[in-house]
Amino acid sequence: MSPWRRSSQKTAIKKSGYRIFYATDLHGSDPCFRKFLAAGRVFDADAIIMGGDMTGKAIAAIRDLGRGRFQSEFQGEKVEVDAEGLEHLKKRIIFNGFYPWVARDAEIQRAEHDGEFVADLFEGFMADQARRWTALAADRVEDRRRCFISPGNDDLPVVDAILAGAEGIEFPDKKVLEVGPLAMVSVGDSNVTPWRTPRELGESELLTEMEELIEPYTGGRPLLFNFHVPPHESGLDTVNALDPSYRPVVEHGMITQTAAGSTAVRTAVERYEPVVTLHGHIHEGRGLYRCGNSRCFNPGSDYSAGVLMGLVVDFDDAGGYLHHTFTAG
Amino acid sequence: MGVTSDVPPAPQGPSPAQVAGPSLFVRNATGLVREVGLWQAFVINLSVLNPAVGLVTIAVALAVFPGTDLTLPFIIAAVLVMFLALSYAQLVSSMPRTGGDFVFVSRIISPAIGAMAGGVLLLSFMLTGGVNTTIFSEQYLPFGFQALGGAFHSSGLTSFGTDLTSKNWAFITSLVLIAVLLAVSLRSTRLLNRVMFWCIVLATVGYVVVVIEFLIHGRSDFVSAFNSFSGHPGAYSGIISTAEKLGAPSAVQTSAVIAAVPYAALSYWGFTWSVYPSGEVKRPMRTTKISTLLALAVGIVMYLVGWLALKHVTGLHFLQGANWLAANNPAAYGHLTTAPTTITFYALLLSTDPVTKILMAVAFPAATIAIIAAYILVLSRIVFALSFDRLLPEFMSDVTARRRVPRNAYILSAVGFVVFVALAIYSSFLSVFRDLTLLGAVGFALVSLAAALLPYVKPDLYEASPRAFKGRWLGLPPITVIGGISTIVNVWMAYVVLTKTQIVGGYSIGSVVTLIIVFGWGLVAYYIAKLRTRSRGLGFGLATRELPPE
Repeated sequence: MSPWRRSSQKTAIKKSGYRIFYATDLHGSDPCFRKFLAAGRVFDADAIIMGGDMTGKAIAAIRDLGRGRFQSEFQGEKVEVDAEGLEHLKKRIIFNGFYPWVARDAEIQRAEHDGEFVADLFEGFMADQARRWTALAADRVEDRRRCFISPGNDDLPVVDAILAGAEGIEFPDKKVLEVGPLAMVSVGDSNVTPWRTPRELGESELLTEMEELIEPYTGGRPLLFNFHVPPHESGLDTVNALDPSYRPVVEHGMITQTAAGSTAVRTAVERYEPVVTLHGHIHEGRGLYRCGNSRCFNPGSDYSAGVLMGLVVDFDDAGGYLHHTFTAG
Repeated sequence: MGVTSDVPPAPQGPSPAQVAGPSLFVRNATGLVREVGLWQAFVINLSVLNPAVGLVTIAVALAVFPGTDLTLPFIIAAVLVMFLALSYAQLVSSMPRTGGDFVFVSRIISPAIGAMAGGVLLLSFMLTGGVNTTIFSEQYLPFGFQALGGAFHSSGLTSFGTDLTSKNWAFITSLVLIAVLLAVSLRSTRLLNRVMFWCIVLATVGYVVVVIEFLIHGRSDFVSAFNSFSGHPGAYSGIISTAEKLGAPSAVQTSAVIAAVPYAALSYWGFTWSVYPSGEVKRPMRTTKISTLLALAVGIVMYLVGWLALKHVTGLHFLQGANWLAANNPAAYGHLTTAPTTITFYALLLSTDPVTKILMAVAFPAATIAIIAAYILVLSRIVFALSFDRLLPEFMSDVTARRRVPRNAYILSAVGFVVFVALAIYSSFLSVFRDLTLLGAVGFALVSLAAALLPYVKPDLYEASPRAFKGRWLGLPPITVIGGISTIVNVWMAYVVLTKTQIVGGYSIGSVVTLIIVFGWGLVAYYIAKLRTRSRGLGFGLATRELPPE
């Protein structure tokens, strides 16, 4: 180990108070999840929190040609591999957050025409992934560290039961949990998106859901919001505007931007004044927004590059904010 | 999950599970957009590169590189920057959401070098923005009034145009322009885009008018118009002979042509702009490769047509002599004529009708406004990146709640412009303009080096992403060869800039200190940030270190 490395690690353990590490929107990226698990040790965090959207967005089919040959078209590139090359191809697909699916021609043809069949496939892949990841977390996360995995609007409900029943991790969705000196309120639902994803609510319903969680809490600890969607017009929610066909709107030679955050989340933050709020959902929205006395964070996501974008926040013993650092690695 | 009354109807889009290609099945999930296509990426690249805007700086190039003919530099530079385009294509293929030179360099080479590159980018963009504001105030705004004076036969407008060239007026008009653009930026980024777009449209109209004026007139028309303006029947030939007598190069010099290549390369800056929103670009590698090369091809044609038309009507010897004389012996030049040495003025001399005069009067100030608006936009993105990495204070990346504009980043850019405008107007700071080619060359060299090292530093990332070229070249990954060539090209450019006195204009204590500050402040900020984060219990190096996958 180089002297520089040693000094880096020395600085990592010089902390005061309670430290959390937060990352979000891994979208099926295996390397990013493994980095997430390592982050607790590397940053000496007391708790590691994943903010939702853990599941992949696409299935990449690999056609089984028989006689040990396999064919696929991935990222615009046609590839044909043998059994040994198949593992490498699968690794490439998983690296990008997709689910590799080895199938016969007939199955692929069926998938091309049968939406329900594909939906079932997705559910199966997501359940497998959730089981794999929770088992890995149970194995790798030390007892002294708490690990929270929340769902996000893109995650099918099938993952909830697996996360809730897993050992070594905690499933915080729609709960108020005491985390160190704080009370963490978690909501994975989002406001309505153009894609109609599995966990979407209208703004008023979303606000009611949050109120029903927060109002009964009487523990007196400062609040920490773990809400997947960021507050509306916070800069953490700036996305490219889309036309009705989901194409970015390019005006005057530049891409037009808009705010996609939730007004309900904004209202909740303004009303309950949590110390810190943690968000994801908008991958490009990395940053900090000050809303009254609250600090709102979105560490962003760069899962497709295999980079874990994260956030370390330190709190004092009374749950007050001390400082934060955005991480990327 | 219920859908309530405040849920708007779903727009037309993909079905819950759809076939995106023969082997890919995607589901409805946030962020899956039908991305920026080839045409849109090309429009983005061309709107920033826009040669109609870049052409206004040709006169500066002739003054800085005496004895050059820009035909070859434009062609050679285009070939050389092609390697840069290919390097970018692979980088955005491997990091499609993380575009930007600062991020590429910090992630692949080192955070410290990335900080240095980010620092260079920030200051050089402020400097360029400031210098272009000065060009607007000292040259193109006065030109606009003179042209309007010519169109309306108003000596008042013409003499006001001449008054505007004084230092104090130039500073005041610069401040007004910066204040107006800042106000537009703070209102909305979209409005700033709109201003930039329409200025580019006006500049393009001006470009077409100028080229037509040059092509429909012959040399004799120009000579006669020039002599007539100068009030001296032998002004045209006198400039050529006086310049030669006083030591101006009398022919095209190879060394001057070579020296102008880095300048020409910098003229193409912007053709890779679609790299920045690369997270939204469809098939990033292919789109980047084609859209950048296409924009480059259009750029070459527009620059060459503009330059050859100018040469056709004025004559190369005259252009070389006039620019050399005006820069090196203003008294001798002033003895022969009071004509400015700008491409716009030459077009105005040939224009015989008020409409073309008015078009030119509006077009060229608009061209410089487009450049300055573009710099404000880019600077805000650079400030964001540096602020997130703590090289600038966090509040610099604050976005206003109501208008969603990066207010502090815009204000910082405007303040930077004002500082450099003051330096450019009240000191001999314009020589720093020449140093910009050095900064550009160093920045591009670092990006190229990052591309060359990508397969070795980030093998997983490289392996998992589509390749710009397949197989191996000389036993090496193709991107290593391409990035390597681009690195050598840009290091050579930096060497040419550093060693050719006609480019750097010699070294003074001021210029050396400026360069040290430009190159060093990012590193200093990096080490300050490192100390600061260490006191918070999390080393800066650790915050940007690659995490080990468990």
